[in-house]
Amino acid sequence: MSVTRDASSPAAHNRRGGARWQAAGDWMFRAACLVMALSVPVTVALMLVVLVLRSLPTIQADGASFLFDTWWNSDKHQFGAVPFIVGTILTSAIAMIVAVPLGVGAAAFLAEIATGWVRRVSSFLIELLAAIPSVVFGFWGVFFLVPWFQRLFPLLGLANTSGRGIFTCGILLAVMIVPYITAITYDVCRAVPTAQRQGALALGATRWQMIWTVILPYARPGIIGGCFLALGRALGETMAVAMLIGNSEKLTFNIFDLGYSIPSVIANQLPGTGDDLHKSALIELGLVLFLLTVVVNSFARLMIWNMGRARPSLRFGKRSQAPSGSGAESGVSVVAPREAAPPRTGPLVSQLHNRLAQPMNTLMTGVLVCCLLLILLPLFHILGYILIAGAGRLNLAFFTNLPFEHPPGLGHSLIGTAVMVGIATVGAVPVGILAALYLTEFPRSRINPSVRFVGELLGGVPSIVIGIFVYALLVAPFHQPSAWAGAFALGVMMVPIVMRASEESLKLVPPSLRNGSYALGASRHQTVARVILPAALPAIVTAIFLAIARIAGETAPLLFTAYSSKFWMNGLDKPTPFLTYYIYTYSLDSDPARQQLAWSGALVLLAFVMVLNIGIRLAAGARVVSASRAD
Amino acid sequence: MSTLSYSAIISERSLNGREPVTKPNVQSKFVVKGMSFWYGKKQALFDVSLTIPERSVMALIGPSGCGKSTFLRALNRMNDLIEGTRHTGDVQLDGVDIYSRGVNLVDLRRRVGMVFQKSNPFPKSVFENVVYGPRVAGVNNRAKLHEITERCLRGAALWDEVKDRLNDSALNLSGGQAQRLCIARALATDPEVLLLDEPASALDPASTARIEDLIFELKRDYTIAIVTHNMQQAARVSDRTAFFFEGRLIESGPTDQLYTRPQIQKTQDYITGRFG
Repeated sequence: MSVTRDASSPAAHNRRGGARWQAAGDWMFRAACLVMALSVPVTVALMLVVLVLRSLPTIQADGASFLFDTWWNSDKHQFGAVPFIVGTILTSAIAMIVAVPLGVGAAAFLAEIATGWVRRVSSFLIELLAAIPSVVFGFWGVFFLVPWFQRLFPLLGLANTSGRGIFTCGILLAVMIVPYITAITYDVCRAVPTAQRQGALALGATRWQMIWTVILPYARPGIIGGCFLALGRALGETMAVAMLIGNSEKLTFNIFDLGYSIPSVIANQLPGTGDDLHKSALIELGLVLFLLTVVVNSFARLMIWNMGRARPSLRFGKRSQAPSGSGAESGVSVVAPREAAPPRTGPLVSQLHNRLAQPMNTLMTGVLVCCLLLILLPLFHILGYILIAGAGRLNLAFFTNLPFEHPPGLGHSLIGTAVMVGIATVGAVPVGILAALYLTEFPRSRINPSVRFVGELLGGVPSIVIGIFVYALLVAPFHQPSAWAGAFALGVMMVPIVMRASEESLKLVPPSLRNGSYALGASRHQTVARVILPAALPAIVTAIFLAIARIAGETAPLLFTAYSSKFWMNGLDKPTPFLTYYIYTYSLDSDPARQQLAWSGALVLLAFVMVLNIGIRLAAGARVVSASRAD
Repeated sequence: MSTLSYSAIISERSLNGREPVTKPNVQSKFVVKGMSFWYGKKQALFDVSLTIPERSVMALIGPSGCGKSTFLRALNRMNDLIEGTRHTGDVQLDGVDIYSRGVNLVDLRRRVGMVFQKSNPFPKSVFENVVYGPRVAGVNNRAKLHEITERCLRGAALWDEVKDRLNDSALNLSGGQAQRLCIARALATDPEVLLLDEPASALDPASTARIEDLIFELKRDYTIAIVTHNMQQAARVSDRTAFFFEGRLIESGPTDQLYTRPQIQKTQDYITGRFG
């Protein structure tokens, strides 16, 4: 059969200028991706500028004494940040001391000892724990942890009988950050080459000896990085701390006292103040928090990246010295000849038998299992406590009425949350995906490492700081909180999540698909639109739903941007009610009817987040992989 | 390649004083009877029976995927680390079934050391690598550890190259040195059997020669089983050779006999290079 070139063949199309259109499309595609990729570092830079500008009044008035004064009295314009800095550090330190051993232990168990369904189910449950919104943790803290500590503290002979305070917060923070430590430690342990494991076991190490002497040292840089990521979260945690720390502006170093942390003081005082200097001081606190978490997160990321790049080159045993002189025998290498060993017939016992190794192995395996159980215990308790105990309190009016009606409800806040989350998703998803496409499709671009790095940093910026940023940028100048501002804050939180997940999924698309498309004469944007995005889409959609579940439970970024209201929404440019606000304020209210609403709200939010997480993860199980199996 | 070249290798071996040592009362170290092995549903070994005499070198040869590595790893139960494996049959070490209930895996692996195809030094110092086995076995006396280090590094023909940098990271060693370090590390647990899984496959000819010399030295004290793809290597170092094909043991016997007068056509085909 002869090949004839008729007027409709692709080659003829090219001659007529199709190629020019392809090139123009590529140019536009590249420009769009570049703009979106650049929007990430631009946002972070803008955040810094806005925070600095808005805190200038206190910076000029107080200078460095802001960081060293120990008194905070907004009425007298005394702004010393020390009580809050100390409170933040103490709560985080307690959280780390509790969470790091538990998290690393549980991860070591999951990565090195557990197999099959134990590993799968436990990892799933730990992801669920990480998905619980911080306001729900706070709610659980107020209704369960505080009464419990109220009974415990007097038994320990403590003066604090409220059950609240720095220690209580530290314990709750530990529960909140332990999933991050566990997840990252698990990943870095799995990344240790199998040859290292085999090497240790073949030399007669028990499993615990293998974990302790080979796996954990090898994974150490990554584990430290993961711990610092978790520390960043603990430092910036707002709602749970604001609900439990006791809100005392007095400086204290006693961990059983009431205290205050940077994020919680901002959350409590910024919405209520009309005093410009007070606002500026609170924004400067936000600036301090921003810089603190940026430093912690940068350090963490660098540790983790270095771990991925090169095997650690470590030096051990500085003290040991090579024995000299003893090796004066003949130069020929000879294994010390063994006397004819008596034939063995007894049980298999090596000459080098360490009687303690096996009991130690059993003991430590038990300890590691206990770590895992201790981590999962709060998850089951929170789910059981809120979902089961709360189910009886829910009624239809909750979805249809306003808080001051009879029976009261929070219908307006559900709509407000849904609208803001919807707008945020519509805005953030294209930005995140296009930015990720820039990272994967133009891998040689020189800005890529910085975009990726700043994206990670933005993901680690505390939500309260994003709230202040949007407040200072959009709300304060116009004196008008709005759904737009709230949605913008949520969107800023969502972009790094979507970007990161999209990049991971896009990277899984096999190069053979891409090459196949190029070989058929497709241009870059055609290849992306027709081949690459469809292949990666299931995984990206999964990530988007998980991101929605995450921002739907956010409180801190909305406190000053959407501001909440008691009425049905009547415009996107007005203060907008949102569900988490009511969980936060009503759970601290003494009115039982309002507490009732807080119960229902926590139940609805937790159920929504859990259903979305469980559903998506179960449904995605097969599909996520299909993207990588396409070849 | 004709059978002639193997005769040459084998006769050269006796010229070098490498005549296989035939002791009057050679005992069996490993006795494997009717071993079958499965990875999930895939059967990797079919009814393999083989005896490995004490203080000798047994070479396991055969094309890729023939089951020789699986067989080797069954001897110190490294296969236990892979999920979904099972076996039937009997593996006896000095008359005790190593798959029986009361066997302590840790003790078994101390007695049956293993060196892997790719060297896997720990990211620790040379010294710490060598004394890893004794340390996990509870030896903490520094003088004793130093004594072990020197003896084992000499035994692995590495001492002269690393004696001045025992505290340097083992990751800085060359490929051949790292592999000899792994052998030294295996010697330090004072094993009775050494399993070598293609120990020289990733090495240059000079390093390979050193490791072959080393195997010859070690034979005096250890029972050695070595998996190799290199037929000349098997001919040079081993006393007995077992030929595996598609999960079955086709033929086994003294190396010179197997190479020069194989009893089975398939063995003949493989060692003369007609397939594989």
